[in-house]
Amino acid sequence: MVLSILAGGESYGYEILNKVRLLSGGELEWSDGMLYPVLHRLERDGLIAGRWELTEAGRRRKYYRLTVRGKRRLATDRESWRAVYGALELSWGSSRV
Amino acid sequence: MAPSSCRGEAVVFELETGITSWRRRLEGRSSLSPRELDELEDHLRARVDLELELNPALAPHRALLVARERLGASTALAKEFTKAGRPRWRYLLLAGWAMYGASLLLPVAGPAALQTVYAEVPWSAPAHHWPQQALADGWILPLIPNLAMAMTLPALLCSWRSRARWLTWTIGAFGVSALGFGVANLLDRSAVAIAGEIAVYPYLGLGYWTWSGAHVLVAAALLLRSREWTSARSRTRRARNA
Repeated sequence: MVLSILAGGESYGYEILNKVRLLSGGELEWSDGMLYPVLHRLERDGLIAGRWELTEAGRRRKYYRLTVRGKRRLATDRESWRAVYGALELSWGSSRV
Repeated sequence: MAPSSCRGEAVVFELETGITSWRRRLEGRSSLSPRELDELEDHLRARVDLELELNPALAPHRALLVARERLGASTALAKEFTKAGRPRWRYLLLAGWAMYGASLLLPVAGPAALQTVYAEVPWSAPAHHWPQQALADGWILPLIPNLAMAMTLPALLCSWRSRARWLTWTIGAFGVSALGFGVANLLDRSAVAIAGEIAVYPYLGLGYWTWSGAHVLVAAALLLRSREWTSARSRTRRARNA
């Protein structure tokens, strides 16, 4: 989910949480504090890269972007999810009959 | 001064005090690095701004309370960060300390080829005999890097918040010099005359190489750690000044 959001461009923790909420129509509500360890693990794995910026309000903020490795992983994950989703759709369709 | 501006300043002061005390508490109860704290602080501030924007009548301390609740308790936060894995420098530090521990049990060198002027130094003894010998003979040099090493133990136990660059450079310098000396010893094994007597450095043993390598590893770990331990606050301040 995080990789998919970052594929749309650079973002920071708070904004990512808002996007998750928005994209899921409020169905997915991540706890604020849970996101950062996930971001740090992805950064350590080289899937995303972070950089510190000074905001207009003079605050320090860490922005994350997708790395080449992250893009590759996202493409693989997307294929896997599509396969799972397709299989589930078929399964639910047949069980309805 | 207008009353509204006084109220504004009081609000800012109240928020800043609340955020500072929250950060201090989190710092005390977890082993989060300053950068991790910086990021969480930015999130907290963004959440407070949103709460105040959505409900202008809300008191700043209430907004801060809501933001803190959403972020989670300090213990839960620390646990989540631990679950996400330890930073690389910790693995490097652990490896360095494991090597250091092993080096204390291994012989520092083989027997000297010739009678040395340092015959009283137990070259073939395990390294943990050295501090006693060093103290007895006033041969203090090996104690310095060992003491420096001992000072990194709190970092290994996560209870150390200092960056201590001097310690990194001291340990690194000893490690690199010791490795350099070892290589020079391998390349040139000619006898050296010291105080009119023939002396030769004995062949260096596994303990010596492990000890030297451990110092280099620990210095590298501390160097990586200091990068993470530098608050983004000081970096952005430097960038702003530039």
